[in-house]
Amino acid sequence: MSHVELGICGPSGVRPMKESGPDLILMGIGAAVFILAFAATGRALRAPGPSYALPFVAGSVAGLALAAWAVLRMWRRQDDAALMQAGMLGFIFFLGLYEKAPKGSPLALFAALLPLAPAALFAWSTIRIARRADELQRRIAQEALAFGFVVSLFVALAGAALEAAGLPRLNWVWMAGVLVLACGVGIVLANRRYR
Amino acid sequence: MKNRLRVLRAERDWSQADLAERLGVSRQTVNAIETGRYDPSLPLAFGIAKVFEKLIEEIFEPTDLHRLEK
Repeated sequence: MSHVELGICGPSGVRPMKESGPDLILMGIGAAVFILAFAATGRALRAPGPSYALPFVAGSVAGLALAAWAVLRMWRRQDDAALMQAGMLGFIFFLGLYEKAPKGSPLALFAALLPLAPAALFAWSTIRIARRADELQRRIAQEALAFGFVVSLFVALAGAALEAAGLPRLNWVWMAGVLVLACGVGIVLANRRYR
Repeated sequence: MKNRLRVLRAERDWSQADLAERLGVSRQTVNAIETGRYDPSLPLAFGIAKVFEKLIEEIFEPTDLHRLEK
């Protein structure tokens, strides 16, 4: 088969490969085992008397190792779409996990920094997808970002105006969620346009 | 812009996925070009012409040429 090298669109698109489906499930199971064992470790450390945390620590390590192994398999496959989903899931799973550990302990610091690893995976795979996207996919992403930006701007302005008018102070952390959600809606709309 | 992509592809018995692989783009892009929802860039148009061994103007036809002729 003859190819025209245009340097666009790599081996993976915006959907994960079929082979990565089981790995995503394994990653989810590993993360769930880790979270349960980590929470049990935190409880064991907080409990008075002799500590029985060791089996839970072992469970945490095993869960994390299973999740990392599944991610490594997707990494070797260069399935950026699956890695992006794994990063997003991992970030959501590990966010707020530090509350399960005793406050100020090394375990809490580890849990507080842990979501940064899947966030880095998400960012790296997203950049790689953007680099490998073809011209239409780039246009769709551009339109989605523009939509997300405009919607977020309107929501932020509305929130600020309501706050100035006397509504209780809002927690602006959720603006990141609004931006992500609006971009997601933008992707769906732009995809429909070019379907 | 009108194009003869679907006809040329059918003549060669290629699926959209086959053409997409030859061009190094997604199937969605081939479909969007065929249906006229998306006009390809100049490098991609040259790529399409090369794949079909034709000139660009044998594949693509501008629909609003009269605007330029004024």
